[in-house]
Amino acid sequence: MKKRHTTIITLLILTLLGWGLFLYQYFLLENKDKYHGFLYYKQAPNFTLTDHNGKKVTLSEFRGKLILINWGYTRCPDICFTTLSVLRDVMKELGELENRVQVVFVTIDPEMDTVEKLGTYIPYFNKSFIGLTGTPQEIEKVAQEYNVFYLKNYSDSWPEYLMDHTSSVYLIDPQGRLFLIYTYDKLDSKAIAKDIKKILK
Amino acid sequence: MKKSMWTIVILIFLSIHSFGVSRIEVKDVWVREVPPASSVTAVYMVIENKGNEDDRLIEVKTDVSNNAVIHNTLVDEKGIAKMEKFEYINIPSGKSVELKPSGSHIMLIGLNKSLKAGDKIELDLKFEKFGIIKARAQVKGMQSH
Repeated sequence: MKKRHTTIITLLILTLLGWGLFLYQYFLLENKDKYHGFLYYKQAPNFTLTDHNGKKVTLSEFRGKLILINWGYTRCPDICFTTLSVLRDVMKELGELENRVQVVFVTIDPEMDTVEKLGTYIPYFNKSFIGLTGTPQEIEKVAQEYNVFYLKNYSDSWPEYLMDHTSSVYLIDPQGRLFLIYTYDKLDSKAIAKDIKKILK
Repeated sequence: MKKSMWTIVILIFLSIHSFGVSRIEVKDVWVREVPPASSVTAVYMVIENKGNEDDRLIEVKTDVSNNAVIHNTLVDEKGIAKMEKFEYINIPSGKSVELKPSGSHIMLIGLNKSLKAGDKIELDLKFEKFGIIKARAQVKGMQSH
């Protein structure tokens, strides 16, 4: 008799677990469908760096705005250029919502990307974009906290070095939460603008 | 008898023609306009091999930069972008190969003048078998692509 009870209870638990798993995945998948980037959802680490006008800027100053952060270096004509062009198109797609979004470019090559260099590079894409640099130590700390990878890549075929680096774009919501990550293959200005409109609604 | 003779003649004719011909055509060559601070840019194009022998692009020369390197952009599964140098780009016979953003491209390193949308630059593209093709590339700004 006791043995039978145990079997029934075990079966019940397994059934419930099965249902739980099903519902969990169901909602998770549905949530995934809602946005084009990958859901991240954690508090965005705060940092202070120097902008392309030489002014100290702290991330939390933008609280209330949605922030798009991308990582790169100015001597990178293919990937970084494409990313910044996509972000420029995102701003166009947004229309009036544009002034509730801040695009931030953080250099992962602080030795080369001085304030002056960023100052002539970043505004080319959009006057509202902010380029950030700092000491190599400051950049390293921010990159670590955001799980951003970068490495100098030396070769005989180019002077100095190029950088291998994380090409994803990070979306921080107006409450200061790191909310979505767009990998390079997901960088589509229309899709990103759609997500932003949904979040700012 | 006569018929098979003709067949042989035609076959010989065809085989002569199909032996080792690389016919390269280059089109849609464009250069990316870069912000004034940049000393590097990229060239993109479509290369078509209309012949029936494979060929490869092995060297690029231009007056506007110190160096022109065949590059490929690679984004790995962790989302890390890397650039690697290619010694050559294969152009298989009968195929069209596109050099495009986020893929293979010619990187011009050490630009000796700033390139503005609308400018034109000259490039010498050297193919292993076909030889040198002189190409003219138009500089395009962000709006035009």
